[in-house]
Amino acid sequence: MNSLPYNLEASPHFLDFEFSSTGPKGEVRKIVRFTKMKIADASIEVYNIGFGDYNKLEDKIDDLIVTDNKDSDKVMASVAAAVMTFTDHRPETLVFAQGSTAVRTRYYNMVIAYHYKDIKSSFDVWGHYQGEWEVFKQNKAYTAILAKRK
Amino acid sequence: MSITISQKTKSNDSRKTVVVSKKVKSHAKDPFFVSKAKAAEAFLNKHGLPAGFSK
Repeated sequence: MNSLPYNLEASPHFLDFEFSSTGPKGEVRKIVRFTKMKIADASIEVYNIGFGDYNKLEDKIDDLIVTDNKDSDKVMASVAAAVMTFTDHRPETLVFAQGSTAVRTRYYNMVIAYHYKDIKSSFDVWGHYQGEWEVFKQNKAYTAILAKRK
Repeated sequence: MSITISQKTKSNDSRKTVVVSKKVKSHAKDPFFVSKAKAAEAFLNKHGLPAGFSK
């Protein structure tokens, strides 16, 4: 599951990233965005990470579409590269991630768990489980993830 | 993972790069990202943050 990411283009403030997924379904533009959130009593800035396919015809983002370009590992590596770059510039922030569906959240859990040995060298990661945040453990079905650069 | 940041130019080596480009527009007002962030805010305002990150 170790893939190199696609080349990324970033906005000057490193809040928006774009890359092109290429495969049997052709070229699909993917967008990654970090959105600052207002969280009551937070002592740190918290950003939500969202990503999806850019629909050029309708000029909108869609993350419920299943592109199936046979490059999911490369797409995930590209999203990880965006997280790394974003936190290079904003190390004192939390990044929140949650899938649009339970299936996607489980997939993200699996990807993080698979790469956790590498991830934890650069990030502290927490998972939300049964109403509580805990330090990320592999093989657990978290409903949301938070990460902070070390 | 090795990431090279290059302002407006791509690296010539074989590593993947992140290129800063003014062509990448802000998607801050895209309904999809606005909706996702609102849902995330609601989740965190309900459940809070891990210990040590609240005032």
